[in-house]
Order: sequence, then structure tokens, then C-alpha cells
Amino acid sequence: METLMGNSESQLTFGWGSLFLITAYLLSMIGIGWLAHRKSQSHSLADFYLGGRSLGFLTLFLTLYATQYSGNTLFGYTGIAYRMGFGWTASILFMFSVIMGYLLFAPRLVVLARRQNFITPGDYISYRFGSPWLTLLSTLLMIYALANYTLAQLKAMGAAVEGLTHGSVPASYGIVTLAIIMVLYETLGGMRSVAWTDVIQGVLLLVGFLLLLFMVPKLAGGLSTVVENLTKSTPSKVEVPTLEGCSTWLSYVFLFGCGAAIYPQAIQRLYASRSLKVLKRSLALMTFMPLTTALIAMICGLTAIIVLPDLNSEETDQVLPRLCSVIMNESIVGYWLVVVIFAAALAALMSTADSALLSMSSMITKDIFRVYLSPQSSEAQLTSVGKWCSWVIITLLVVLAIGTDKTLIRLLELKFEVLIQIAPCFFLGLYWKRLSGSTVLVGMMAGLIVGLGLTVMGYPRVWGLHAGVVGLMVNFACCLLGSRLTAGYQSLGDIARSRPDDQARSAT
Amino acid sequence: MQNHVPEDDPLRYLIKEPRRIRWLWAVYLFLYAVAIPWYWPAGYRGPLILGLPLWVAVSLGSVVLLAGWTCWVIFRYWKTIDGDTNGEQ
Repeated sequence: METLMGNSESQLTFGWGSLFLITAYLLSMIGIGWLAHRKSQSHSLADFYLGGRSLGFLTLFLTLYATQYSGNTLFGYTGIAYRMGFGWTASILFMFSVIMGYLLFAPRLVVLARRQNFITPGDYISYRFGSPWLTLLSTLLMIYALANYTLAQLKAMGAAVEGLTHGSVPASYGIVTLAIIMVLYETLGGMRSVAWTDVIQGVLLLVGFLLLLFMVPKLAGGLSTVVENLTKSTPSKVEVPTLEGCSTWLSYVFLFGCGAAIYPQAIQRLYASRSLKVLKRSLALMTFMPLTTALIAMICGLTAIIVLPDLNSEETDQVLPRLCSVIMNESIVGYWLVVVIFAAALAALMSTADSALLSMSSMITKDIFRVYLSPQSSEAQLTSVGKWCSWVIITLLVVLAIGTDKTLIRLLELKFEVLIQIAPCFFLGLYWKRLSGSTVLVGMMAGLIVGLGLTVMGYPRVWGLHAGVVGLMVNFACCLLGSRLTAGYQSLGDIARSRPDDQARSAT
Repeated sequence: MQNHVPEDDPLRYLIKEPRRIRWLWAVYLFLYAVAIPWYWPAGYRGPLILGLPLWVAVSLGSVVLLAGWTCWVIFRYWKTIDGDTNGEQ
């Protein structure tokens, strides 16, 4: 992403009018933050981090949408489609699988969350397993994965601003400015701010994708012409994948179905819905969204093979900006449409980063600061700590984004390999009553060792399966074995009765 | 599930959940098996359907069916004892 729009051929040169519009859009985010601040009803953690559990259908749907589809869907997926061809149809299936992942654990989690007043995923893990070590390790892994995720969005923001201004504004200035805007509206109104800004960002993203579908295939004479040309020039890009390729499709389904579905910011959106009816409607609509995002990104990548032939592997991350550059040079209408697409790209990056930032702040405050440093703090004090926490996290991430050492990059790219190892806590923990915290902890460690070990040793995929998925298999096997060896039945009611803390929380 | 749930178990509020109904998952398994293109001959492209190679059109068609099926499952088989209020009375 660092080279995004960095090449002279692909530079998007916007005039003052369009820069003014984009600035107004960014400042309106702070305005929304202020409105959300005015709307806040108390200084409780539930109000700040879950918007008082009051998100309605449109807000919940658009915040789920804007959070799930990041800058990577726009820039990364178009580049991969350019390299892989129709093999990237996998992306539509695995993005759908995220919703199927929810279906496997959300019905139980949502009921528990409401009755036990969960704020973070760590609250559920603590309630279900009663193991401080498991809760701590899971929380640290989630924070690590989210920090990497946010870092990638920040770096992309910097590259986008540098490209937008023809290099006159360096990437570092872009990163700092956008990060300040983001953290300002986030600390003003918490989840309300983030969700309300996501409404605008989600609509922009949707409009941006539809504009791309309308404009990009026309550049090469329509989709049928693109496919016919590809069949002649690079037939491998239109042919069915090999069996190993199909195995990778399956691996992606597990990676996203188990990994992306348990992103903490996604779980907190399940907690934040106003009612089950609202949540069910939002998730139902989300099942169709891969067809309006990942599919369009793939079509853009395929068209680019014809319109912009012979890009090398590194340049393929610039596919979308280069296509936009071609469109904006064609007509004044094309120019303004590209301005909207560019705003949509910023929206995609910011909506994902702000949600991850809020989620990290909640976990550090609730699951670490409160538990280990200040158990007697009031909710108002914790909310205040959470706001400071957001500033500290974003400062550290901005420093990393501006000055990341190249040797660190691979380490910082790891997120699903790590996050996916928490999946048994949710997918099995809600159903297997005999699954104990120590078993899950052992499985998690084994999964991490295998997943990270394979990656570090230079085997990111084994027989088409991602290293993280292989680790997850080991993890699941440990859980299966452990729960078979453990005697006795415990219902979630038994677990709640056995812990006075949870009784008290339940009573409140 | 509900038959064995103690009085103070929060999950007693959940009266229907998709994960417990096995035949729903058999349909998922079938649709996923169609969506992943393992069964086509090597190097196949096929005729164009709406501008897409046949195997891509079949995969996308399966995703549409998966989405529609999931909507139906969500509304039909995810219910709490007190309606749609997240288990709150």
C-alpha cells in the first residue's frame, strides 16, 4: 500500500474544489462526534463503548458494513484479482462466510451479553471459563490483531493523501491529520460517534462501489469483452482453479468464517443492537453485501488486466488509483465521480480503523486496567481512562505507521493467524459444556505455535491451507481431546452460580 | 436444549437456534460444495453467462442461494422466548 498512487502515471491530481469537498467531509465527522457527545446519556462503559445498546437497524447495518469492508477490499482485492483472475471469486464466498460464522455463535452470545451486561469479548470469556489467564491471553491476542489491522489502515491513509496531493503533502502529514480527526470524534461520542460516522462512510462506500461497477468495465468494452480478451491473452485467469486452489478457497472460508467473525469490534456490534429484531435484519442484509463489494472489486481488477497490462506484482496495489486516473482524464463527469470514489476509499479506511481503535480502548480499559490495576474504579473513571487510552494507542500506531522498520513488516502483517486461535472460545465454548478454560488455553497455545511456527519457517500455506487454519485444526483437536477427558457436566447457570462476581453483575 | 436448561441459566430465553437443527447445515454443506469449483474438469472455462464463465456463474449463483437461505434461517430459526428483545423481559 505504500506505493499507492505514488507512480507518476497513476497520480490523481485533484483541484481545489474537490480538496475543499473532501476537507468538508472530514470535518463533518468531528461535527457528528460532537452531536454524539451531546446525545450521550451517562458516563457508563455501556453508553460509551456500546452506544447504550441502542443501535437501530440502519445504523447497525451500515456500521457492520463499513467496519467489515476496509480499504483492503478496495485496494487489496482489486490487486489480487489482477494477479489471480477469476480465482478470486473466492473472496465473495469467504466474505459471505463471515455472516455464517455469526450464525454459529451469535444466537447464544447475544442472549448472554444482554443478561450479563457484557461490554467486551473478554467479559464473555471470563464469564464462561472463569480463567484469568485465558481471558488475559485472548485479550492480548485480540489487541495485537487489531493493532496490526489499524496500522495497515493508517499506512494506506498516508499513501492515499500523498497521492491525492501529488506528493506535496507527505504521507506522514496525512496519517497524523486523519488519525487526529478519527480519535477526536471517537473520544467525543464513543460507539455512537463511530456508528453514526459509519452511516455516512457506509453510504459513501456503497455509492463508490456502484460507481466503479458502472464506470470501470466500460473502459475495456464491457465484461464479456474483458473475458474474451483474457481467454486469448492469459487463459489461466479465466480457467477453473486447480484442486490445490479449491483447497485454498476452503481455507479462506474457515479463515474468515472463524477469524473475521470474532473480530472484537464485530462482536461488540452484536452487543450494541437495540433488539434481536434489529440484529437479525442487519445480519440478513449483510449476507448479500459481498455481491456489492468483493464482486465489484474483482471485476475492476479483471478489467485492469486489459486496460493496464504488464503491471508488476508491486504495482498491482495501484490498480484502483490507476483505473481512477484513466476515468478522471476522460471527462469532467468522470473527474467528479472519481472524487466520490476517493472519498469512499477514505471512508473505508477510517470506518475500519475507528472501530478497531474503540474496541482496543475498551479491552485495555475493561479487561486489563480495571482487572489488574484499578479494580475499585467507577464506570465514569474507566470511561475517562478509555478516552486517554485511545489517544495513547493512536499515538503509538501513528509513530509505527510513519517509521516502521522493513524487517518488522512481516510480523505486523500477522493478524488472522493469531486471532483465529480464539475461535474455540466462541464456536465451542457456547455449546460444549465440558470444555474447560485450561483445555482452551492449551489448545490456543498449540494453535499459535503451529500457525506462527509454519509462517515463520516460510510455510504460509500447507496443501493450500493457511498456516493459521492448520493451527486452528490443532487447536480444535486439543479442545476435543480435552473435553473428552474432562468428566462432569456444567451448565452456564452452574458456572454463573459458582462465581459471586457474575451474580452481582447479573443482578445489576 | 431447553428441556435441560436450569431455571437460572440465561440461555433458557433462547427457544430456537439454527445450530441445533442439523438438516439446515446439510443444505449449507451442499451449497458450499457447489460454490467451491472442485468438480469441474481441469482448465475448464465454459460458455459466458451474463459475461462470466460458467463455473464463476455457478459459484456466484450458489453464494446468492447461500445468502437467501441464511436470511430464511435467521428469521425462521433464531428466536428468544420473549420475542425479539434479546432475551430481555
